[in-house]
Amino acid sequence: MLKSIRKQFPILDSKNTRGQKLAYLDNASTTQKPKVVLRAISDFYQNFCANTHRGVYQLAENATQIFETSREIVQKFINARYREEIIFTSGTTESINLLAQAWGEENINQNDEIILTEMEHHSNLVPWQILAQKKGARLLFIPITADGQLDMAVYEKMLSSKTKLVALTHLSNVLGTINDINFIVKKAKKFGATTFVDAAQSVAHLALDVQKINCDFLAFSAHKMYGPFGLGVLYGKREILEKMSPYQYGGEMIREVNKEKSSWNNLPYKFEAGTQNIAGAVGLAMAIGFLRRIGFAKISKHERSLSHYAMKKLSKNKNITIYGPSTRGAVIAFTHDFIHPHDLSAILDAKQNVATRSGHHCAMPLAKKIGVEATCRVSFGIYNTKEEIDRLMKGILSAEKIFNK
Amino acid sequence: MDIYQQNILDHYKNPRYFGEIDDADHTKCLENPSCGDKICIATSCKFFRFSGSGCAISMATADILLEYVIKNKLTFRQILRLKKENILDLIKIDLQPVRLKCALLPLEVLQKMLAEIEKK
Repeated sequence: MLKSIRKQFPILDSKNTRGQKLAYLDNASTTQKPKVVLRAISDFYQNFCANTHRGVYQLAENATQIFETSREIVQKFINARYREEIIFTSGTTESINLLAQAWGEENINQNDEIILTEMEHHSNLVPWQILAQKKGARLLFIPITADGQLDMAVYEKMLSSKTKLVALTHLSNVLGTINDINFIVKKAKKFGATTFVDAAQSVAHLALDVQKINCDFLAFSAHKMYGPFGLGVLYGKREILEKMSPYQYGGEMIREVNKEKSSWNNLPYKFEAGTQNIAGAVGLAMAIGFLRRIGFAKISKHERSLSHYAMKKLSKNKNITIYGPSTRGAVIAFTHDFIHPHDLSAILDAKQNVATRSGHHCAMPLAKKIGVEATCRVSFGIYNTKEEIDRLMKGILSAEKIFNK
Repeated sequence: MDIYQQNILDHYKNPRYFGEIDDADHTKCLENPSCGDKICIATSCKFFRFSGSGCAISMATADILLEYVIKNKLTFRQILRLKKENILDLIKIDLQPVRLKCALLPLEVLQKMLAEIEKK
């Protein structure tokens, strides 16, 4: 099984000058892309390339049909009720900016409160900061406990009639914490608050059902789920999307344009101004197919066992501090007592061809909270192996030899 | 590799110019926003000390730079003329663009501090 999955990713067979295969442990940043996805994108450009929704010739009809089929595949993947609830964007970041501008502009007022968490990626923090500054609204942050979980008691006390939005990540890109979004959304609804889930980190690892979560909005990026760069999704409940004004203006999003005035197209096109990333949507649809054929039960079983194995190995090293809860997604951030994360990542790369990431992982408030300037992070995908984790551990030993005091 | 040469490790593990200066005339701190490295340089009567936290490359380079400046009694003008190439000659390693930022942070702190002193 693992062997046939790895065969889909030729890059995993590439070797460095020392003859070591690539051990790619930076999947929270972006995943590698399987051949089925790459082939589908190239096939689209070679055989079906035309702009959507306009031409009446067969090629354009086909392109439109392919694009809209991709939308339906996304709809089924997250179990959205209607196809027009799926809006294509350039990625999670654009999805959140769309939301902050199109929804936030009309729904957030002075003294309103927006609840976020202390573990948000900058992309689910800065757009809300700007909105709050502009409107005179307040940002509140659900604190994290010592073991890296959201403090639910504090959250429940934060909620009030002033709460207009609760926006949070499903899975922390640093701590690996899986947040209980069903509970958080349920509580927010009691106060009539709108809810947004940033699923960028969870979409490749956990099955998502937006009707079950019952959130109003949810976003993710194709490139973190074995799909291409430059394409993302914003899911929104139809009745809310219908009331929202457009976010960008241009072609396709209009119904009628006069010299002085225009009216807007139906959902989802109202939010898809200009030519879309059609090949990207094809790639995303193929990536979804790829994930579905493996199945989330197998995916999470494999990744859980990798996480468990790596946690066990890392915690045996007394110089290493791991951050976050014991039960977690496939993300582990850690520091070493006498090796700076950047030095560690550089040596892991040079000595073992193990790709890891070091820094604040675009979550500076969280780094401050846990009291570190930077951490070294490993994050797993469906193609990773225990042998790669063994090489990570060997690389850490090499680094210790170099930096031994 | 191998950016972790003996001279880098030596200056990183046993820095000669790491520390604070009591009653420093001037202090300047800068951070590298992409990695969180922070370097402060303090000066008093042409003497310099650096403090902060960061990777081996940024810390060792700070130490090597201050050693060079102090031992050769460089004037402010000479320090302000130092460039990337001078730093690379001093530390004697090749760096990729991302790590180059680590090596250039100490010089940036030092030059910004001196520029501020000159303005006063």
